[in-house]
Amino acid sequence: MKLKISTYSHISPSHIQVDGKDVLATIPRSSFDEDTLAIYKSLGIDYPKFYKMDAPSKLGFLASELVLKSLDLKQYYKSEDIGVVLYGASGSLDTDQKFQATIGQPTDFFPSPAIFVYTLPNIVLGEICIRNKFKGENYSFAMEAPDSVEICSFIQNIFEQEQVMACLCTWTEFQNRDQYRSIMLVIEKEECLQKRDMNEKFSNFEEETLKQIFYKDL
Amino acid sequence: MQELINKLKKEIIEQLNLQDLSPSDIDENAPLFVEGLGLDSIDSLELIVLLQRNYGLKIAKAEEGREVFHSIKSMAEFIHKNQNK
Amino acid sequence: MAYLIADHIISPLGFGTAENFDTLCQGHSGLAEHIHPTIGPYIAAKIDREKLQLAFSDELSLLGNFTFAEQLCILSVKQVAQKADLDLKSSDTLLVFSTTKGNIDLLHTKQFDQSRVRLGKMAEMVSTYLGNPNKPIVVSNACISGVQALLFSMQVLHSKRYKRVVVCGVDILSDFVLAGFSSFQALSLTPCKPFDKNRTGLNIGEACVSMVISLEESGNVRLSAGASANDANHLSGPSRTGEGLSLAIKRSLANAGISPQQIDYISAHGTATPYNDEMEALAFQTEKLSEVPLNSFKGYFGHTLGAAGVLESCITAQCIKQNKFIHSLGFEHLGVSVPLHVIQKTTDGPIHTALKTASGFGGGNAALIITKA
Repeated sequence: MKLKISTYSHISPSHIQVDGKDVLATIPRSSFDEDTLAIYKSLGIDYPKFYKMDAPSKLGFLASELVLKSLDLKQYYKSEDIGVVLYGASGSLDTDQKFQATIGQPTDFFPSPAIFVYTLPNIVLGEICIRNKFKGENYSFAMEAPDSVEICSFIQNIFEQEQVMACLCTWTEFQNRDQYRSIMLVIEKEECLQKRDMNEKFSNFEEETLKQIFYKDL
Repeated sequence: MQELINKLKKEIIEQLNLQDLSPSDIDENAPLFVEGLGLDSIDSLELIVLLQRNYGLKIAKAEEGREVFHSIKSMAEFIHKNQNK
Repeated sequence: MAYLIADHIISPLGFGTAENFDTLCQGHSGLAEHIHPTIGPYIAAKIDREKLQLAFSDELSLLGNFTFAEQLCILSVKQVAQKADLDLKSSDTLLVFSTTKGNIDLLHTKQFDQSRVRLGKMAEMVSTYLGNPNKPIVVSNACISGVQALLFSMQVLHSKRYKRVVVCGVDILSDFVLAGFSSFQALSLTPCKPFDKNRTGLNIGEACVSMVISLEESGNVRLSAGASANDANHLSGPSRTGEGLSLAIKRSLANAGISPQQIDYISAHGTATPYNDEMEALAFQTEKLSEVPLNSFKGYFGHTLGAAGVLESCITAQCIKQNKFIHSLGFEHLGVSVPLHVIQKTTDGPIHTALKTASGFGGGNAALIITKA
């Protein structure tokens, strides 16, 4: 079965890109909080939940909005056939540290439920599903560095076994406010893209392409 | 009382990350949950923490907080009534 | 589809699957009262550190450079490898970990290098020590991690990249998780009562469980098929309709090619929070499973988070092997809005096919069909 990357985005301290091309170039890069707010505003969406998200969720959420803005997957697939597969190394560690700070001292012990709910690596995946009403397969993995062979093989598998018809696959890694990147790929079957009469040249979803995307600019 | 209400508004915006709002956007009489600010269950738990940390007031169960957390005004009244006990 | 070759459980109920299962059958719970300096008394299922030290003193004496969670993984994986006659050093063997918070206690204790709080790093520490040449994979998807790690491992075997997979589920008791659930007002002050009308919340537990699975025909239980689905509704609140869980079950049945009538037993998630249990009951009703005998093991082990799905699947496999329906500890009077057949007494009876389910934060749901081989 031939899989294609129908579109992908990349957000890092130095990049805001869709399909390898810079977008939102007018946003002056300053800090994570200002940058993400500027990206959110530029997308022209009204989604107050964004403000409540922790940093890793904001990062992954915006990367997903960048690709889904011009591609309404639900127009082509049932919501339960759209999967999301997440990979990352640090997961929710930044938020874990914030939560730990709320319970660090017996005299200042006020654990925050709003922070605690984000102390799981898979929460960003939940945010993306809630926003888009994606109800399909959901996988959340931790690995120290993106492993193109593993990722390719697994995604290929879940398509072949008809667990998903389309899927978002992301490497979302938030170490701290200076070191972060989210790469969000939309993966579809070649035959589905052909049916939509899409004549654009899409990249094949294969190890080499993944390596190029994941390790470019590193 | 108005001073307390204004302080609460600021604290709630800060605590619940309602960055798109300013204190003047919030009607102290409007329901906090569902309509009004559209807060949810995690927010109500967070408000319990806020009352405990900033005012030393304890609410044991989220359900007990329903009346208290009806609006900013009801929260202010609850604080006013209980803080000087 | 994959065969279960061997398994091993380290839990408050004992060391080894047999000891755990015997203790369960006798109706003993690992839940007990503990005291936290700020939270006060709480109920949890905690592994007896002294007993563990005694049982594995030789091995543990070599593991001073490892965290408690890593030590548990090493012990458990070594035990299961021995039982399965498995070569951990072979490139045909993959280690898959399932955990939500791994070494989270290091944030507080500041012992060891902080990089080990990263789940992938923790997994690498364990796999390197065990001499496994492959990069380990960590499934971390809140409370569905364990079931999903098994589903993932079945996929991996299917792709023929590895011959055998060791799935190791681990989560330990920590102030972090305790404080978190406490802030959610989700902790029960008494031993939890899944599906009961007087249930008030969950208890936390800790465990480390390993299972070896393979496509080679062997053993007498197999994992048939499964699926996951997202509620796409709320981060922490279960769906009010059970739609996501229902979808995961429907797909699992379809993937396994069986009908709801063929399910003899359900090992539910059953955390004993009011909303979770209600949501599950609704999903079981939607999938025409209301009359199937069902239990939750949380009354014995507490909620072991990332380990729960592996632990409960492992126990479910034992129930199938030994044809036992185990009492859903803590249950007295039905406390959900639709009928449900909660097991009230441990009895013998034929189990051919079982359904294991899990649901968690982030809106995830997962289901797995386990059958006699």
